[in-house]
Amino acid sequence: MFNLFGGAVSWMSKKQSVVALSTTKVEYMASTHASKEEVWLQRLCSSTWLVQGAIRIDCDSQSAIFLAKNPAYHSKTKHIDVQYHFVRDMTEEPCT
Amino acid sequence: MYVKTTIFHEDLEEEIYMKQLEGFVVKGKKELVCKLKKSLYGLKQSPRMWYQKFDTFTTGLGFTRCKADHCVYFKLIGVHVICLVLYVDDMLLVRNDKEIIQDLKTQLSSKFDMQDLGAENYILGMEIKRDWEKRKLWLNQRKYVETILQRFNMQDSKSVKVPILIDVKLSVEQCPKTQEEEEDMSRVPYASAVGSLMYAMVCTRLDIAHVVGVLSRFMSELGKEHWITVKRVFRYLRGTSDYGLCYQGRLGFYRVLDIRGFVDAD
Repeated sequence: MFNLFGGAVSWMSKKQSVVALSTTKVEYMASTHASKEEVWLQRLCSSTWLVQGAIRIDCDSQSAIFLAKNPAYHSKTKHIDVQYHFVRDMTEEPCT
Repeated sequence: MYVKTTIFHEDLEEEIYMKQLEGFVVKGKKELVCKLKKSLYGLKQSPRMWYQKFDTFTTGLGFTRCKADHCVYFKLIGVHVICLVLYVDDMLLVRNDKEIIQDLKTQLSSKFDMQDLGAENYILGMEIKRDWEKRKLWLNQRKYVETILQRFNMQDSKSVKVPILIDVKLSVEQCPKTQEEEEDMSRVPYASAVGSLMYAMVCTRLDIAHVVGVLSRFMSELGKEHWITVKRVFRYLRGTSDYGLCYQGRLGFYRVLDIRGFVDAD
């Protein structure tokens, strides 16, 4: 869900498409979906006259946040599919 | 603004032929076909032709098309901004200066056959309410919700507080076991009910997003429990038909946005 000045502008509820092995992975996948939406919102704003810095995404799992912020290799997370590491790229360079 | 006769009567780029109409066949030339000069309603090319024509016209007026969403156009004139949002033949104009928009309206009307509906109160079935002083704007679908309640004969149902109970577990296991049950379920307008709910969900009712997502997994294998859950959502909507979204502006730096996202999985 994305909010602007307290009003919801974009939202989605989705069934998990794969079986996840850990809660961290689930939250991590959810944030990947969110960052895809974020990219679009960012583009929409930046192609108009509006100014929007990096969009902040709040996630309620500490481990997923650490995973997104720290691109280090973990033996426990090597099973996570490459596509879900998209959120890492987004965290590194806030959307172009 | 609403464009009256948009889709028809645009010039065609492609060569398209049509069978001669029944009753209008030219005598002795039965084997001939008609070549279309203008586009017709229902033709695959017509919406595209309309969009192209509109696009050239608006870019000619100095509008820039938004890269992320091709139906949004905007134009900057000094500190003033006009934003044009197009939805097939419905158009929303957003501005921060009244006079500029009058010019634009005249220009648009001279090119297209348009109807000016004034300050928009309805767009795509959503009602728009404003409070200029508090800089607030509400979007709700009260009318749409009432219509679908009536369509599924739920307008006099007792309302409930939550759209889905936490202990309701829906699964394919609950699909009908006997012939009789199956027949019962085949008479239920499940798909159209879920579809109606989905439209509300996509527009303004994010509170039913989860339950609609759950319900739409059982389109083909539905049992009694699924239908009961659908009815529960309708009963929820009955009590909350005037719920909607509220947007507000911020004083000062109106150009600087502050979008924030929230994610959760469970």
